[in-house]
Amino acid sequence: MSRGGRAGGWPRSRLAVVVLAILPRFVSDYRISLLISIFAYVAMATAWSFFSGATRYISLATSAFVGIGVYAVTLSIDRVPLALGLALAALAGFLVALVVGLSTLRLRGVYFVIFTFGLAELIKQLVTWYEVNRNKNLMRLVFADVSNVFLYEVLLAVAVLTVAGSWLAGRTRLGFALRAIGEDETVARHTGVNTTLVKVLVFALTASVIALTGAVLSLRYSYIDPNIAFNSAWSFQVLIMSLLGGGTRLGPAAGGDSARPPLRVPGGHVSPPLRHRARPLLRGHRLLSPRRRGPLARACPRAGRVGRTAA
Amino acid sequence: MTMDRRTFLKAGGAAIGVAALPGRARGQAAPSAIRIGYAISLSGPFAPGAQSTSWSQYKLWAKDVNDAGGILLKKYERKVPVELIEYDDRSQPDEVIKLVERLILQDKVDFILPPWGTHMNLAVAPIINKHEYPVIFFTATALRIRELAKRWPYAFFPLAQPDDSAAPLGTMLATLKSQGKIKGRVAAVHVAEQTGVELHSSFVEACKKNGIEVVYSKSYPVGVSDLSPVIREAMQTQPDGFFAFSYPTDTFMLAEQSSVLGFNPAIYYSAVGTPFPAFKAKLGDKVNGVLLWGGLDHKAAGLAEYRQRHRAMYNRDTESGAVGMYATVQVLQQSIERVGEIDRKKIRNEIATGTFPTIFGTLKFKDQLLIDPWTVGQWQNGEVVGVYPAQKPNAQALLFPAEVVRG
Amino acid sequence: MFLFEVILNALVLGGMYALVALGLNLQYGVARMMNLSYGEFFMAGAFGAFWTVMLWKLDPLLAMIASVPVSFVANWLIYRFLLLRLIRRAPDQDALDADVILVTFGLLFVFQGLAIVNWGGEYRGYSYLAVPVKILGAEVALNRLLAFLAACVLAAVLFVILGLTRTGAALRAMAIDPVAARLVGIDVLKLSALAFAAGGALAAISGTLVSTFISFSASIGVVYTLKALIVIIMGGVGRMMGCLAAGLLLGLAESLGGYLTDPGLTLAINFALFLIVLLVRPTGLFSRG
Repeated sequence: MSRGGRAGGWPRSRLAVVVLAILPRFVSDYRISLLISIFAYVAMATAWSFFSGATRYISLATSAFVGIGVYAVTLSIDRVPLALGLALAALAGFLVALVVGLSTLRLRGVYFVIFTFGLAELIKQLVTWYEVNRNKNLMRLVFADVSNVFLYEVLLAVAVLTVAGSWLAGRTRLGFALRAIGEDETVARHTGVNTTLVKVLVFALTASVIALTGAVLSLRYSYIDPNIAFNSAWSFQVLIMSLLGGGTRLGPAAGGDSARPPLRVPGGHVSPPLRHRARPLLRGHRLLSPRRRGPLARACPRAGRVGRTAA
Repeated sequence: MTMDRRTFLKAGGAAIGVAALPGRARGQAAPSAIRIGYAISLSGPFAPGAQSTSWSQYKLWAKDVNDAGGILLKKYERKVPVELIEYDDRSQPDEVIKLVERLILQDKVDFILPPWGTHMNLAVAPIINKHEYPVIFFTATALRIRELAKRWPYAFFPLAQPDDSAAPLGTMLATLKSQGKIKGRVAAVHVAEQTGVELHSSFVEACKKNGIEVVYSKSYPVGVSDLSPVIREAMQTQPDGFFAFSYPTDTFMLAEQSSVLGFNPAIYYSAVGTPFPAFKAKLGDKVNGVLLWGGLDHKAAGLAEYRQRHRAMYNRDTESGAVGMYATVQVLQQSIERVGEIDRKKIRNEIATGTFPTIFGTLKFKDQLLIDPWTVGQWQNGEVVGVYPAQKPNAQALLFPAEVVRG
Repeated sequence: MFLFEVILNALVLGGMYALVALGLNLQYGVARMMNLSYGEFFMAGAFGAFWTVMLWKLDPLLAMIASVPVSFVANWLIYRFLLLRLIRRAPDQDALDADVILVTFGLLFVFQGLAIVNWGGEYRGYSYLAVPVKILGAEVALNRLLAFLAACVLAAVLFVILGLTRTGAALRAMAIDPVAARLVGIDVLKLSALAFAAGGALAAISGTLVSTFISFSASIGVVYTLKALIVIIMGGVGRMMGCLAAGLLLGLAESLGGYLTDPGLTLAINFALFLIVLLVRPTGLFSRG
């Protein structure tokens, strides 16, 4: 099952999408559920990687945008049609990311990374405080009357559009500008790239995809609270997926496969060390064998600079 | 060999009886194992709670059952061993949903045991209900659960709900006040978690109803590292009672910091984690008198033997929440035995209507909620006992003032 | 009077933050390895202290006799046999950073998994020096004060070593530019391994001390790694006094800020301060600029 075609493989990818679209009719509910998660991870990892992979601004604010999307849909689901709620989620993610982007222009490297992490935590704390003090209630119950198949199709669409969109955009001047920023931002600026506009806009756009995806996923939870909505695991998982998958278009998608549930040893329970070791072994294997370079690695090493990254 | 007439008739009758049995039961083979699956937090922030209250009990129960040969399925006239299938949900609701679906649809287990935590349980409830798997959600408490139970006939909720948990505290305070033992002024704090929030607001309600004044009311975030300012402020108001609707690490921290600061109110209550060994470790002998959420019948039948088996398996003491969890799995077991076969609908009905003797006392559900769960317990003589509801078997009298002597 | 006590306790809390961060400051700031499994050694130190008290009825601080060398050696081995391999095959610094993050992330899971299986996942705690100390009329817990003092002493010692000794100068040079350092004859790999291992030893020390007043479990590693990371970023990566200052500031913001506004905002204020510092000084308080 490929999740997007290679250059020149348009008929093949269109066929793949069609196959995926009608798949729910033939597979069990569980597989649909599994694919829902995979499509969601593919969409998020691809979007995240489109910005962070190219520009090398590693953002750990993913969980903040997921949470914003979740709350946007949670708060609006009883008042407006679902489609509008999802649109609001995307919009909210976009707007917050705009503010974040504009405020972090001076930050680089690991400082940017940890800043985004701190920001996500701050947002979670503030939402929690607001809910506890104004609402006297942290929990929100959402019973969206949507089937698994509906979620499947929506997330498939989001994933396909994100992968296709990032591939296409990557071949335009925008993609070039992003990579230029990643190579050397000062030089990029001097060659006429409006780095501020590019960075902030793309960051905001990818954030809106993440918010939308988070919003759709949350429709199956029933119970929402800030710890669930703003779960920092999202930030780390998306990062790891993108790193594992590599820098190509399919990379984050391939990394998304690592979202599969853990192995089970037949004949009893799975011993946790086996499970826990399976993951790093998997990663270790991929690291120690020749593999495609992650988005953080580029074909051309930074000329002469083995010093700390721009900090 | 001769046979007397009666025996011959008995034997003949038996032979005819066996021949008359529905062919299915006679000819059908019993399943080789009863497969019970669960997704639980084996890693991530919920792992400590999940391990001590749920996971450890599932394992212990399975061992106890299999040591005795298995669960008796009357239909096949034999005992069938239990096989556990477990997954780690990594403390993420997204994972637990998928894993429970996997257990039901892919692994096709016979029964499901619940994950840990109100939010995980509520995330999973619609799924198990849809596929008609009866599950007793021990670690779930929320004001809306009564209404939610109506949506999910296959979900059972044995834990005391927040309003029921706080009400006896209010009446207790009112009684003490009328006896002139306290002035009727209390301080209340809670952790910014749903359970903390609901317990706190229920408590404030209960106080209002009983004419008790809440002179200090604050919340603090999960993961805070120093609660001494909060304790100091509460101390300044000189309350008769301090009520902390807290979660494990802050429960332990509050105990230690109160001790250090010399905060010694006549009533000290902390919610979740108070029965844990880690709490007793913080206060040592001074633990007596501390009130807590829940409680248990410390003389229940089978409890002492269970404690020994628990210590043998885990090298540590159990805690009242774990006892309750084990008891709910006993309920499942007894329901399976009474129905005699793997028929989840019948088993669900048995859970809903039956009366079950367990190590947590006699359990009975009404409208899928437990009748008369323990609401308030207390550390007395170095062990946790139940105090309210006072009419439950082996409920102990309230120890007042708390025998806590702080230096 | 009460305010003074809050401030004092806030500083003591800040000392704890700094203590937790010092080891990672060595590993990331000097050896330049972002070790996500740092917190697991903190956790191991905590368990060591716990077993010492519970099983052998001894002073928990004695656990450091074993846990510190073990952690030192374990981290040295990790550097020598795992991280060094990554250094050799990475085409550039970014790729190396990514690889180190991935590998140490994997280690995190391995260690946490092993701990959960072998030691159990439930909460542990014990009481040690949980007595008040009166300082100018205010009360501070002795166990917390000990952690604060340890932070100050260790930060000062590291500052002196780094600032005033030849090895320290070599370490600093290496932290700024390993290539140039090698060119002037500094054995970068050996010194990096040393710094990394020392960082691990500090993790065990902080775990031991913090476990005397904060209950823990096998899963807490990640939480403390992240706490440490925030402190060292805020203080300026590699700067020891900066680390101490950042820790103290965070402690002040958290406790004092929470007291002045609302306890529910303690962590929010914490994060807000951190973000503000970065916005004003994008490379940390005491960074080289």
